[in-house]
Amino acid sequence: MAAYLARRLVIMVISLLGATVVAFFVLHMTGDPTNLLLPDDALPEEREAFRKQMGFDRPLIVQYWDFLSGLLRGDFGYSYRYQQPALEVVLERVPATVEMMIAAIVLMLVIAVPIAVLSVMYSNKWVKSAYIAVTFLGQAIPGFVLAILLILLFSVQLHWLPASGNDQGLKSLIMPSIVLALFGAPQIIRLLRTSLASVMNLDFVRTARAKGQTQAKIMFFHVFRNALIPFITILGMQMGILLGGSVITETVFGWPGLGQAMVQAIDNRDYPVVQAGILLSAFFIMTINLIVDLLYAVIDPRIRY
Amino acid sequence: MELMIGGVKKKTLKFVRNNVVFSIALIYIVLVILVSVCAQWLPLNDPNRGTLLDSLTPPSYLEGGKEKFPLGTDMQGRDILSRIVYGARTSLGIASTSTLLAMGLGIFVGIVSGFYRRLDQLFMRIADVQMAFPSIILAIALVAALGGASVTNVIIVLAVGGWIEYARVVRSQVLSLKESVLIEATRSLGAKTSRILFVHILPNVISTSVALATVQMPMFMIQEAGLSFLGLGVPLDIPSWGGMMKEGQQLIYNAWWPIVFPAAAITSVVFAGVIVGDWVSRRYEKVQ
Repeated sequence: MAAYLARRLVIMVISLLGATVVAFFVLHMTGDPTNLLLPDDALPEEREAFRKQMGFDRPLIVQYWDFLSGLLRGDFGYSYRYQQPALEVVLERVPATVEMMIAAIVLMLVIAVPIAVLSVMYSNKWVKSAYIAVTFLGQAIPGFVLAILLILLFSVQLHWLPASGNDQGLKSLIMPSIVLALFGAPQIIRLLRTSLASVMNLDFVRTARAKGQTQAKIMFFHVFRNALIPFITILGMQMGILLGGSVITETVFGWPGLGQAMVQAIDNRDYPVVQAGILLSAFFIMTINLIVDLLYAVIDPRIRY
Repeated sequence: MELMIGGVKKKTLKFVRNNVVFSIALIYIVLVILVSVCAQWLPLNDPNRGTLLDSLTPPSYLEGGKEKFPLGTDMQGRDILSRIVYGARTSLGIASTSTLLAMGLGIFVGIVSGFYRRLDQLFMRIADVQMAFPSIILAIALVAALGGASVTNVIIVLAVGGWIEYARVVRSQVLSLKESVLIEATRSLGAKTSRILFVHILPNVISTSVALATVQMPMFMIQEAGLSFLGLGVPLDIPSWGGMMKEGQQLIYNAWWPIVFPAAAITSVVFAGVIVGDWVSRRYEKVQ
């Protein structure tokens, strides 16, 4: 177990390093960042001076090393727009994003699990319609389209819910989390259904039924637990999708979170914030994957590599 | 001669009856493509110019609407119908170009990985690292790195986001083909590796990739619309459905038509595309 953990940590560190390279290159891919950062009408002397001041005339490796050591010290650069360290800007926004993601995950489970379980157990018209509805809303309609249409209906026409911002507590949270939940729900339903269906046909379930156990107890104790592993994998994978989906959802709903901050930062050419956002997202996703992998080993004693 | 034509007609009708949904979707897509290709010759208003006097006219069938603007106008007085048609050009053009690019890149990597062990390790590692990243974040980073919103950048970003699937599929095909008797025979006849690649492997690989492409293209359209909506895709001076929705959102309390019509366009075209792509890839699997 310890060896497994150690190996996973090494992989995570390597992936994080990869993320830092990506973040670094955000600034340097087009060659000279000076052109990206200065207004177009800057004079050549000003550009030279800027270049020297920011150290852009040094070899790339040196600049990267500087960048990396800065990161390790917690220095993610200085946000031009907010006049604060970029890390602070980003960390301020994280709670809002986390709030929305948690609400979305809860909703996603509330929607997906009953549909999946019921559709495997019974073949009922309502369950089928629910399944089709969720799949259609989640996959056929792009997220931001759904979001805007919801705003049109519930904010503009009906005046029930606020169109943007997170200042009205639960009311503000409803639409964004529904949209975000629908991003991931279809996949979870599909996966849960497949794994439930496959477990249901296994021998030991038949034994339980032969022993006289009720369907409900069977579903819960035997079937559901075994379907847990792929379920957790998918949940872990969905975190990545949810984080990506939160970028669009936050922008549509004016939700002051991490995703919106990054999009605005690009608009404002505030690259340190973009870099900090990328690194934080990468770190977050990789931590989740790590936890998922560890949970695997805990849940299924057979998995120990 | 007449018998032959009658037979074709009957077969088509039978096909349509058995695959109603697919046929409808296919016809819709073909219509959309035709309209967008012929846009210049259609009697449409200028999609890029409008007077503020006409600003926010409702669709013509509603009160306050003008016949000149069947679907209404946006804030700058531009005709929504023609913007949607020209937007179709943008979206379809970008989606197809980036699909071709992604396909080319993916096929290349797939073939190389299938043949050369060491390169295989390298490319698959890169693919793994890339897949661990949420794709939107990567897209954002790439757009920032490339200097902002522009049509070229969108195409690049989409292609970079999409090469992996092609590479994986092609690679597994190459790996299995490599061991096949045909290739062994060709080699023993003295064929050089390059000849094997071009004449034997490439044709097989292309048909799988094309099947994959029909599924990928609608995805690319959604992504492009999303990026344009965020302001990171097609610049606002070129009509695009995502951009129209972005502009429309500002006026959401005043006018619904600048939003709903592009939304309907995106949803319907993507939906039809997914249906067509799904059918094609399933048919293809059966043949395999």
